Amino acid sequence: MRIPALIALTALCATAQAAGMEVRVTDGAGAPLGEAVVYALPTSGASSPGGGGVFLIDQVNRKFVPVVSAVQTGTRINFPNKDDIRHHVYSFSPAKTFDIKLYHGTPANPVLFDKAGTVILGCNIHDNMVAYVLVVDTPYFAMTNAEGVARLDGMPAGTYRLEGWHPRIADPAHPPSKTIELAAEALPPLAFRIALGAAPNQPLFEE
Amino acid sequence: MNRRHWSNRLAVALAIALAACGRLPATGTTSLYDRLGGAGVMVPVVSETVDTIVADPEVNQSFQQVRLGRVKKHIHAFICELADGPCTYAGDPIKIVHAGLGIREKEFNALVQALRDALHRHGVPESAKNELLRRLAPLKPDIVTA
Repeated sequence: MRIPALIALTALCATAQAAGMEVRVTDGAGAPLGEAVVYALPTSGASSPGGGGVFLIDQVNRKFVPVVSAVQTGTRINFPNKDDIRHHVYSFSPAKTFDIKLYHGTPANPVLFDKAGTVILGCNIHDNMVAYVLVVDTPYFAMTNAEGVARLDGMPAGTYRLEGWHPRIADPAHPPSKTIELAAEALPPLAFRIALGAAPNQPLFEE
Repeated sequence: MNRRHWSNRLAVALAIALAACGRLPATGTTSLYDRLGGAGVMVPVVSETVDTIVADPEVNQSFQQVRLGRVKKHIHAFICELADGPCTYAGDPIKIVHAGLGIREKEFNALVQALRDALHRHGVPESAKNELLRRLAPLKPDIVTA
């Protein structure tokens, strides 16, 4: 009686245990690609509990920091202006259209990102200020480091569609994707290749 | 009716029209913006003024990475409104616009000089030029903060 009980307990552990995996992303030429985002969408379609967190995108020396970020849907993004001068952040992206004037020393309300998609941020006052936010409908996402490696962790066993993205992805409508079966133990590293194109155009804010 | 009769009438009509023209500025109905030459003069004047400053590394730091088209549009609308022209300035208050830029006397004077030169190049009458500069002068404390 003891052994079956142990097996049952192990099985229970297996279903509850979270696992992860490593993804190596390269560009079209095979070079490691940093600042790429990989994310795993549960194929069950069960929506994970919303983000609800607050993320920061600073403005420092007339630049957004970080330039590339990923957040879960439901996340609020705060835009602290660390510069002495004013900025005017805006987006015309369908996933989130907004504009917010940011004065030095005057905190502004965070902006809710509640729809999945790519959001391109600009500053109405300064050229060359651009940032990219990928909003994903899952808590399981990670950004690649300079070596092109991203690690997804804490994923419950199950079936996922894994996708890859980069701000300069040549064909955003067809990101690299792969369906994976995740059990208790981690999967071997997966490779994604993302062909790059020109940086997407950013429309000007006419004011 | 002969040809001479008609040419006399024409001369009289012309004289009346010219007299009317000549009287217009004295009636006080012409705005400073009109006397500056209106949009046809002031749009290029503002554009050239900004370009002059941007091209001068001694005084261009406030304009670095700045969307110049937008700045020119705002400066023109501001001047137009200040000169009683048909524009509405939709930008932030001048003090807020320049906050944190650390503009010194030197940069301010360079811009005033560039504006003077551009107005002169476009043949703006001395009186209109001086009136505009007189109206702009009170802004200095909101602009020069360093």
